[in-house]
Amino acid sequence: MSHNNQQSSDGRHDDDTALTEFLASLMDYTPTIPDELVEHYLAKSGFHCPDVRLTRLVAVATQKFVAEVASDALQQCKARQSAVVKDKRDRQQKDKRLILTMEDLSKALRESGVNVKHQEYFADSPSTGIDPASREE
Amino acid sequence: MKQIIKTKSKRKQYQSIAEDEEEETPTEFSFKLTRVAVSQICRSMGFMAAQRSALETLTLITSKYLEEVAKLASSYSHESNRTQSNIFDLINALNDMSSPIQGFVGAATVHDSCLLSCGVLKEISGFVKCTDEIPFAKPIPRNYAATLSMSRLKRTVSKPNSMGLKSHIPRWLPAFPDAGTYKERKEMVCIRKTGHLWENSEFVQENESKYGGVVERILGGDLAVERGKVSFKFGVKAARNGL
Repeated sequence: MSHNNQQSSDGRHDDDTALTEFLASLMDYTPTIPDELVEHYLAKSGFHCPDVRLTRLVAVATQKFVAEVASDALQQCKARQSAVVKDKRDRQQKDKRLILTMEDLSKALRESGVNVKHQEYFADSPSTGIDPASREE
Repeated sequence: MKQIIKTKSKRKQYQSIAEDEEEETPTEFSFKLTRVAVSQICRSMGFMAAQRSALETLTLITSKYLEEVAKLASSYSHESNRTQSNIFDLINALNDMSSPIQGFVGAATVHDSCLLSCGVLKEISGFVKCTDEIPFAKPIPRNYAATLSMSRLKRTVSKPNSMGLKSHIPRWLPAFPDAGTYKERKEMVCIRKTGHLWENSEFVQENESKYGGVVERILGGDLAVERGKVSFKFGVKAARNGL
């Protein structure tokens, strides 16, 4: 029993040092979301902490969230494009650019629990809503 | 060839649409900064371009995420009677943000085991290790708002000093208005009222023509004498009503 306790306290100690090291490494890391911006949002919601490392942690967590959503959307985009290429070779050139679209984003966000709904007639591009057959002409 | 021309014209249309929408977007400074950061992240993930609506949606979600994390963390700190949040509040908040949706390693035992060893932190540290640093496009002036408010504070503080600060009034209270504004006010109001009451009577018009700009003061002085006529008229009405 005492042995177990000792083990867990050792483990806790290891976690503690790992966390301290991680937080210390955040001091050298520059997140894409600047500290000032994060501080603004934190202050807006009543979060008060003078420690810069916590601000950085929030920034990194948010960056991770956005990056995950973006990579999901990218996968959606690539999958859609490969399906299109199978259908028609000619359109490969045109559709090869990787563009973040509402369609892919809403699919990616749904995986993170956000339901994005926009009107069906929402015209993002001039060709939206036009029949694909008539678009080809 | 036709297709190329078509795409060019479409691009022009895209641009014009983008410009139109740019005017309509919320002009909040923080939102625009977040949009820059989000687009940088999207670009680092491999996107070449983005629809404006999609980018704005993602920016909105990002700002909501930030606010939600902060709100959860501060509520955790308030639950334990603290005003300042610490790392444990933040970890709890991050756990709450990710657990109901995707789940993470050790989500089932998150409240049993030590918070410091939770999966969310490990995932974040892994993310930090494996992603390159992409600094924000442009440095932001840090204390812009703070200096603004400080200068405003100084301005308000300097006023009572010049007027002579009384010892029993705390320094942080806003300055008193000019002494002239509240000392002469009664007189002004009185004059205005009388002027308003008498503005259509023949007496005022006569006096205006006689004395020009000094009319108001004369009105105030002669009021007691001239009121007799008016009160008599109203008095008759009141007497009739009373009868």
